[in-house]
Amino acid sequence: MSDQATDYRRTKRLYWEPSYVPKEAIYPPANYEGIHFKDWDRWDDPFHMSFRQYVEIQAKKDNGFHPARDAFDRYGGTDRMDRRWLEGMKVVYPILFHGEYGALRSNARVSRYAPAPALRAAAFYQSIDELRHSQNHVYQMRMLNKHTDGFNNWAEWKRHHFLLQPAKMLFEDIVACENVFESVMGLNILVEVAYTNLVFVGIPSVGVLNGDLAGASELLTTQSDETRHMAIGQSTLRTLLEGDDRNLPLIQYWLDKWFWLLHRIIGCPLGVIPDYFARRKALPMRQMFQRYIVDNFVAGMVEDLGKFGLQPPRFLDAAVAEMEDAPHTLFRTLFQYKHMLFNKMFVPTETDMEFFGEHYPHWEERHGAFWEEVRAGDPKDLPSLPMLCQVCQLPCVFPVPEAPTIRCSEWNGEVRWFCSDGCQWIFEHEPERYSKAVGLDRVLTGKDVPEIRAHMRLSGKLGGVLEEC
Amino acid sequence: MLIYARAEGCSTPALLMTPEPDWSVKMFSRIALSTLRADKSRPRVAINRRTGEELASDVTLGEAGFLPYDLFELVLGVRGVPGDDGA
Repeated sequence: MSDQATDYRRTKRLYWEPSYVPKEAIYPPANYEGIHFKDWDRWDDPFHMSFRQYVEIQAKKDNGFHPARDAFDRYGGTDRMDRRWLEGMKVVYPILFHGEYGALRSNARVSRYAPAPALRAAAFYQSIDELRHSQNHVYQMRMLNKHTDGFNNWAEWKRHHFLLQPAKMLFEDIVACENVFESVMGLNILVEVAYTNLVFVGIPSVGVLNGDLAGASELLTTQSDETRHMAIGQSTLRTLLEGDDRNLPLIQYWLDKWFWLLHRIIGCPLGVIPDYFARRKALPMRQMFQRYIVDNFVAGMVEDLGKFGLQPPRFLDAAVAEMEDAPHTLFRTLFQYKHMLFNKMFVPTETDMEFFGEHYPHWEERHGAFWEEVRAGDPKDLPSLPMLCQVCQLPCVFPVPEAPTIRCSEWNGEVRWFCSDGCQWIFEHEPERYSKAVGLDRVLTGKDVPEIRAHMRLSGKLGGVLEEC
Repeated sequence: MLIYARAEGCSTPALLMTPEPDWSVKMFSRIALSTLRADKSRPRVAINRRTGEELASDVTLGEAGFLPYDLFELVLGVRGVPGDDGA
């Protein structure tokens, strides 16, 4: 038997039938309640990774990436990055950190409580991967912080700034799933399989066009681990669907729910990067969404697992329709809060608008008037935070602020507002879980702009308009 | 009182406001339109978004049956801006 096979067999056999406590005391069934499965030993990690191999491979990756990033900075690469792109990265890196750190915690929990031995081992490796990724994102911010403001206080903004609350909510929610298989579904299927190609391959390809070679390298070394993470999700999903058809309704619910949450909290906001913060553009977000999410993820999953009864996500059509406007709506909303941001905003140029006109047929009709008013001298600044969705914590402005799909539910005598049918549907299925969040718009009621800035730990001249656009 | 306000067709999202219960719908409509930077020349009707109920311009907010965090919405309509005598 090869070394690899021997190592893997040992890893997989690192469990035993306990003799002095019941097995349920070690792996409480509450962690997989509702899942019908008996032979957990059948779950297999297709990578058959041992810890020794893992360390060797990861060390090679870091030994290659860190010197390349340092050389990029030493020879003036950061100074040559496009300023607009740099302003976008001020938002991207703290959100990525949220995601990676949440994934680290979630996998640490799966590696402790999952009933399948091989899943516990694979989740252990993934939790270390996520620590590497989160540290690399911090290294990236450290490098950029030497050249510009807006990166220095990211850890405080992560806790207090309204811009980062949706990502915080999303990843805390994944960590807090009582059922470890819901964590795997949310993280390893929806985050990893559906979205990492878009985030870690699609975005770097635009970054390179805007001079961000170090950022592209950093995101691509992150992506090099994602294949293993996707395999964990796909293996789990297939095992559970093949194993017992009673698992289908719960898995379909998780797919419907996490697809919408990921679309709303990652897909929609991410669109401002390729469409706006990228001065030199490649594909519009709408086409990237179609390619990576609809054609690759949804079509691939249905082809692979449709025979078990798995259907496309419930809100797929709504998500596709929204991508016509989502990047533009969110960029406008951010512009209205530029005096409360840690990055700078700007007015789209004629070149930008030509791109929008070419790729978004309704842009002029739905968004053009807003920018005409800005050009005429209206700063559009608003005095307080917007109504935030009870579930996703994003502003209730979709698809366009002039006619948003605001939804309302009463629960325990209190009024709750939602940005969409998707978020309302999730709340109505799990009201206890999603009723506890208190939006910053309510926390900061009655405060003026200096007080809001102080609460969000904004100092000096952070935010405002990028003059050299 | 703590209620959200928004105006249909306006690019400003719904904002949380703190009107007094004895303010009339007419008075709050004027203040809300100004805070929301909405087009005051367009005819509008005030409604409670949760119930869909249309609000008479002379009732007070306290009498109008709002719950905390309800949404006072100024929708585009033909009856004129509540409180705008010229509309």
